[in-house]
Amino acid sequence: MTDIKIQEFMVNMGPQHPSTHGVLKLIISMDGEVITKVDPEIGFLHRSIEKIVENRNFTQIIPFMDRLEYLSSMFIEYAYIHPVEKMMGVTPPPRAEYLRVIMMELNRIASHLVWMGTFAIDLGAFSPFLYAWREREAILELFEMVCGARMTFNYFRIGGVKQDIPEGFLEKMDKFLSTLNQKIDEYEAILTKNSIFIERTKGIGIIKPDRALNFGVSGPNIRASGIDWDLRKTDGYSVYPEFEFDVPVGKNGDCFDRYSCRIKEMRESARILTQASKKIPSGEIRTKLSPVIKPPQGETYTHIESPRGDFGVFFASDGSQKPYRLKFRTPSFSTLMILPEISTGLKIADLVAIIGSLDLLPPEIDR
Amino acid sequence: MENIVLSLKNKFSNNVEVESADNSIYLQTSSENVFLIASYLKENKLAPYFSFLTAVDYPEKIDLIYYLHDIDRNISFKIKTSVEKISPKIKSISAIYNGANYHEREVFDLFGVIFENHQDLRRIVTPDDFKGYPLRKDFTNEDLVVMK
Repeated sequence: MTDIKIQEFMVNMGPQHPSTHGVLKLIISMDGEVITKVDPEIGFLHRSIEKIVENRNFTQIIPFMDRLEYLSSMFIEYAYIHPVEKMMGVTPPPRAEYLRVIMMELNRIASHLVWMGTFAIDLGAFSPFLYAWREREAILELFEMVCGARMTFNYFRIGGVKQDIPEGFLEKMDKFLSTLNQKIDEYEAILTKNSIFIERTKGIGIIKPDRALNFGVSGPNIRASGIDWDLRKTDGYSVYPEFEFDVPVGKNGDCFDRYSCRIKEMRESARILTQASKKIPSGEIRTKLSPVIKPPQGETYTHIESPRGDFGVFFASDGSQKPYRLKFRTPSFSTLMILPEISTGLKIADLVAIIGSLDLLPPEIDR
Repeated sequence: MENIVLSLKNKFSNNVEVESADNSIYLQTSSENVFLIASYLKENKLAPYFSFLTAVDYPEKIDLIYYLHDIDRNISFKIKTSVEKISPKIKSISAIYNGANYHEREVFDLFGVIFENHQDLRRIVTPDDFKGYPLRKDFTNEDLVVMK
């Protein structure tokens, strides 16, 4: 018998793959079915947004922000407008801030529903995917009532929001929220106590807290490892200090803890929305500013808590009508760096569960 | 926070300017000292969270800006330095903060700054055979059309 050679082989989990949630290429070296090395390759969705916005004025940039990360556009718009308003010293009126928080928390629920549906379908459970889309339909109809668009909203403006909510918006939102907790209980009935789901997610892809900090992992991914850090509580931007809500923190840092953190976050967002719908003041929705927006010279950086983590915008201005440099610090870009470390030694089916639980989104990685 | 500012001022007395405002500490220095500051912050557990690293292109220099964060005390550190335009290079901190890996590759790709001792410095968002450094202000390419 000739000598049997044992060698590693490389599998290309290519840019087109249903489980990578977008265009993300992973070159996986394997020894049998066990992974020895994962090498991500990005750049397939690079649209050079940071270069394009250097040639646009500040209001023209807002539609680009929608497309930077289309599942949580409201957060990205707010994250861009926040440093510009801070540099100009503009404070939006209270009603505008409440409207912004309402839109952002609705968007958080919508983004987590997409995440849950795709995570479940990657592991083989088809029904939660359809149920998540049913709930999301109600949220997208609410967005359409306000700004006319279901996905890329172009709703926030420097100094406030574009237009006020129509009659019947708050009633429709309250009706949606009254059934949301029960619907989330239905999803948990399918997934949380399911033995197949537990086998595939408990103990898989454990992120240790100090490694997470070193890499820059944030959001539910780091809260699942036990670090209690939520920018809505520590920085208290916009009107978040006026609401009462808890921040779910996990223990082990595995895929199951990341899943349960996000499910609990959906319930907490519903709590914020019920409070906001009762407390929203009446008044103006936009501060009066000159049509020509020119921040003074300087640099600033602010960050907010987006559904995926710590989203920040670094803004360098030279005093003109166009930004000199806008840098977007996206959470998925930093979270991707930890993927090779936590998936070596596991099987390729576990890699699918890990990518799903980290909630990576390629448009955010490549910008 | 005052004792952190004082300890930084004592350790790096001449080479680094330290200022603080709100919850932020700003450090301005030349490019040789960035590695020392980063190792000092990491060893004394002053800034365990690596946020990001970026660059800004000016006509006569390229500014590099590092943001690090201390979650427990809610203090952020901003390190600002600059490198020259012709053959810019600086020592990499990806051995201290692993989160600097892709950020340094991105600054290399888009601005052309070489990070010495980086384990795998190659282009990240543009194709491998791309010529030029796109985010520099003087970047031109026959395919580039600037929309006014």
